[in-house]
Amino acid sequence: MASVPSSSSLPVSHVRRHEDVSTPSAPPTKRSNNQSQPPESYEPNTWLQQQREQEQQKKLAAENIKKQSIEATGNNEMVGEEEEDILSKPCGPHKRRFQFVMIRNITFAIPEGYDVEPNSIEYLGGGSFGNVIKTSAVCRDGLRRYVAIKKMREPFFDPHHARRIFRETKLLQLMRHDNIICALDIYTPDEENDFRDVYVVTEFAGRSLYQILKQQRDYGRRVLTDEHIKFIIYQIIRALKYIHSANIIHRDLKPGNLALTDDSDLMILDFGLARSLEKKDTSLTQYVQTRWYRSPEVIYWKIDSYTNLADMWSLGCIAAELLTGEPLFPGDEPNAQYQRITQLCGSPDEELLTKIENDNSSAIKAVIQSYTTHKRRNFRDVFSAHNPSEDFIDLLEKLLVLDPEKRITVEEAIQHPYLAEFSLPEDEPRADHIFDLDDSQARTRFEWRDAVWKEIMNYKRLSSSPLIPGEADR
Amino acid sequence: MAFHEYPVTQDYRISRKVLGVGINGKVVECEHRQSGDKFALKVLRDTQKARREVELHVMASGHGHVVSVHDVYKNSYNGVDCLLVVMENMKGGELFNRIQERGQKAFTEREAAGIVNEICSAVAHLHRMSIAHRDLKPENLLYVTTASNAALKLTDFGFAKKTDESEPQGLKTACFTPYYCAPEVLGTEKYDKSCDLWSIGVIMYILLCGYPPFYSQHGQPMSPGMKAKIKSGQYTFPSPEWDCVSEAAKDLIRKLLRTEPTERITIEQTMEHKWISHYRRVPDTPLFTSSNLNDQREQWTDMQDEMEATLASMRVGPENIQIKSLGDSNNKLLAKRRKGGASPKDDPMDDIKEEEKDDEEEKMIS
Repeated sequence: MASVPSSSSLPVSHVRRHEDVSTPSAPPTKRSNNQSQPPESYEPNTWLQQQREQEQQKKLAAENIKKQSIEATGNNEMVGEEEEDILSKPCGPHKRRFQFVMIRNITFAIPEGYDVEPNSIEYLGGGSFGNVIKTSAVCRDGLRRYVAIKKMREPFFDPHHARRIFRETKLLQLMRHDNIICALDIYTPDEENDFRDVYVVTEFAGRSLYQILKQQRDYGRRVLTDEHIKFIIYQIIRALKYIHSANIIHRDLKPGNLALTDDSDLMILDFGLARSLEKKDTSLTQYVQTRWYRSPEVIYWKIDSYTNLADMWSLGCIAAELLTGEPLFPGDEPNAQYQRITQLCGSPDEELLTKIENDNSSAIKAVIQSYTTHKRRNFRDVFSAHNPSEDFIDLLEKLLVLDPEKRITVEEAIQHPYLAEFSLPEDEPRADHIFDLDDSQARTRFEWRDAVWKEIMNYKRLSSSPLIPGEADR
Repeated sequence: MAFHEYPVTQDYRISRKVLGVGINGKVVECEHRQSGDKFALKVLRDTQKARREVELHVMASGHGHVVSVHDVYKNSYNGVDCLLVVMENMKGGELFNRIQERGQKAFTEREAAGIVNEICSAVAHLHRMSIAHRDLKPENLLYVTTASNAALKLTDFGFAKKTDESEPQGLKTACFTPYYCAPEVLGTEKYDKSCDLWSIGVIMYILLCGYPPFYSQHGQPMSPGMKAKIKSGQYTFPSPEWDCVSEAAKDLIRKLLRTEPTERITIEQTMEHKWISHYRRVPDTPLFTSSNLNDQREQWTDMQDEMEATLASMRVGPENIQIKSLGDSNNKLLAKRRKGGASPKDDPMDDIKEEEKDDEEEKMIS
């Protein structure tokens, strides 16, 4: 049978210098959505472009040299022997030493102490916010862990982008919960006056539910059983209880942001969009979640003041998808999605319409009223083909409620009978304080950059963080 | 092709005769009310996956070696949305049944080349449109009629995949997450298509001798280690069946059954191979195929199962995701929630004790 391209066949090569280009594979998708952003100060970015062009040229030159040397020696693995040479001089805020490794045309700075053997590095994927590789490292507690290293893509491209990097680095440090990914290392090989790259290291948390569900769809093979589904939903709710108690809204819950190990440990990943509710905030943007999992109040109304109940809607969408294997509201565009939502959940009733009118304007109400009205369908009938339990349907009914004020809260959901077999209130922690991200005021991308630099400087290493060789002596 | 929203029964009379069961739905016979022509009707539950199947089948339809789609209806039965696909009725039955049933007149290498050429032209048509079929197996190759010159056609697009987009349009947006985007999403085109070439290799092998290439031993039941054999490419051209088969045929099979998908030849290269490009000039050597197929009738379903399993494992792509059952999981949260923490996995001594018990039992038996 077809042998599997193993990680060893990955085009991993080692380079000595620190040059880079943005990856061609993933288009800078979300940037085009900037029209929805609150006005921020956009500096002209011509110098940035120039710099990138220069980098590109340098990189090509470096590649040519590398190719020549490989051709000359006929030896692709000239690395191992001169390990000492390969490490950079101590650099960056903590004067660490790095090895620069080229993976899929992206240069990753990997700190001393991490596994850099080509066979042990695996490319996990890329998106609009960065590229991720998997490797392993011996940690301070003496255990070897698989870690995911995310190299942020042009972190300080614009203030909007830079703020997201700031939020994510901040939240990945603040969150301390079994079901939420946390940062094991945050670093840069750059000096403060030339600070360009940000790397965030987390534990490797397994495949995303997106991958698992996609595989189920593509290959018609069921991977998740009913008991898996229940335990996944329980763990998401357990994490949300903590997140919401810290006054954070995740805002981007979707299968791609949830990782699952073979042992069914679920982790919430990626807090790039999460935001503190602490400050009265009028700039919550409506282009935040992947739309399919977005709640109607986020897409269609009350866009200025949505609450953490938006996450509960997303959970409902995910729960239904886990059951059926298909996305619940896969609308190609917002109108089509609205149709799908109202066909299942019914059109807004008078009460909700009044709320919408009071919170927004009569114009939005009029638009909503211009759509075909639907009655809420019986969920038991809709999902009957998948034989869900009564309890599952009851929870789903309470999650997928149009009016967020009538939607089940996370504190209620965790006590729902569907999850009774996992319920253990003393092991369902809340955050011990409210997280104030201090990220609401507008700053320039340089100010955000300085804030991120500070985060790296002040990052407190955990016992599970990768060990820096000689760390004990320092 | 636009779906008709009115009931299919307005145009067709549906018979109870079940023609076959595809992976996504069953196929029954139906008759066009006006013309009286017979068709096959496939009933699918209206899901994204079914839409994909219908969309790709319609796209591929119209080629001389692909079963054509005549009409598609979207009807609702008891509140369940269904897609009804009216297809060409393939009266000639499955490829190997016909070879099995010919008995007296020997099947020749030239005929085999003609058949492989037909299959290749269908696959080439799909691959040109960036569609990988991914379920190319004997059951999905059907003859239009029982006439000796009837065309052989490929059907069942239940696992077909568009190779030039990582996902159907709508799904693309779901995956801009920076973490853990499936690595197989990137650059799988070659991988998906190579699956079809492997299938052609297996079918060609069976056509030339009457048994599949990955056998524990010729004549014996299929070994459970077939997967390992396929993986390591262990197959031979045993005597006497292969003694008089042309070297060109063996050469093509070797190129199609390469274990590394990236080394397997493409459909274009296959079409250019002289055994295919000059299929009419392939030697007219009589083969053992018919009699071997008859001798091994009983093992045929085993062969189908194995081929299905192998195709499934190939479709899985570079990664085969499996999640342990909760009972087998080593999960901290679960361990805390298991009453009294008394999971057998918690205490390694339990395992040891059990092993000892087994030992004792064995001793008693011996």
